[in-house]
Amino acid sequence: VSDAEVRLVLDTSAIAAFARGSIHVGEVLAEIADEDAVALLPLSCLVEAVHGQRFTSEEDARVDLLVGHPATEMLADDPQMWRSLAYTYDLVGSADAAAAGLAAIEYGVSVLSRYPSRYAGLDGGGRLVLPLDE
Amino acid sequence: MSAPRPDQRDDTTVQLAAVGIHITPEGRARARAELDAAAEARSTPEALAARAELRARLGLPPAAAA
Repeated sequence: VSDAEVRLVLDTSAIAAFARGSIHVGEVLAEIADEDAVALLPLSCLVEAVHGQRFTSEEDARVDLLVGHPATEMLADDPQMWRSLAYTYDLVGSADAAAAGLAAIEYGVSVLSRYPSRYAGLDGGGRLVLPLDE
Repeated sequence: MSAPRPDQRDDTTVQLAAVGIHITPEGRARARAELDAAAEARSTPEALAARAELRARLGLPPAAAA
C-alpha cells in the first residue's frame, strides 16, 4: 500500500454495489478522493464480486473506474499473515470477508458493507462496519 | 512553479457521472458525516482497547502509535 492515508475498506458487497451503480459508494469514494486518501480493495473481494457475473459494458466500466481510481488501492493478502487470516475466517465465515475484516483491523479503519452482521464476530465496539444503503 | 493540481473533487464527480453514477453535494455531505462518525467511534478509549484485544487475539502486532 502506498503512503496515502487509508480511510476505508470496500468488501465484496460494496464493490458489487458500485458495479451496479451505487450512489452511496460513489459518494464515499468522492469524499475519500477529496482527502487524497484511499479505500482498499482486497483482491479476494474484487474477485468474489466479479466472478460469475455477466456485467453489462457500463457495469464493467464502473469496475474499471473503481480499480483504476487514484482513491483506491488493491490489497493482496500478505503471506506472512496467513494465520491471522485463518483466525479471521473462523469469525466471519468466508475468505473474502476475512480479507476485508483483517485489512480494516490492520489499518484501523472501517469496512463498507451491505452485510454488517457478517463482521459481528470482529466488532469489539468501535464501529468496524459502515453500513451500505440498500 | 509547479503545475496546478487537478481538482480531484470535480474529476471524481465527472468520472462517476460518465458511468451513470450521479452524486450530489448533499449525498457527499452525508458520506463525509458517516466517515467522520465512524472514525470518531473507532477512536474512543473503549474502542481502541477492544481493537487492541482483537489484534492480539488474531495474532497481529500492536498497532503503531498515531
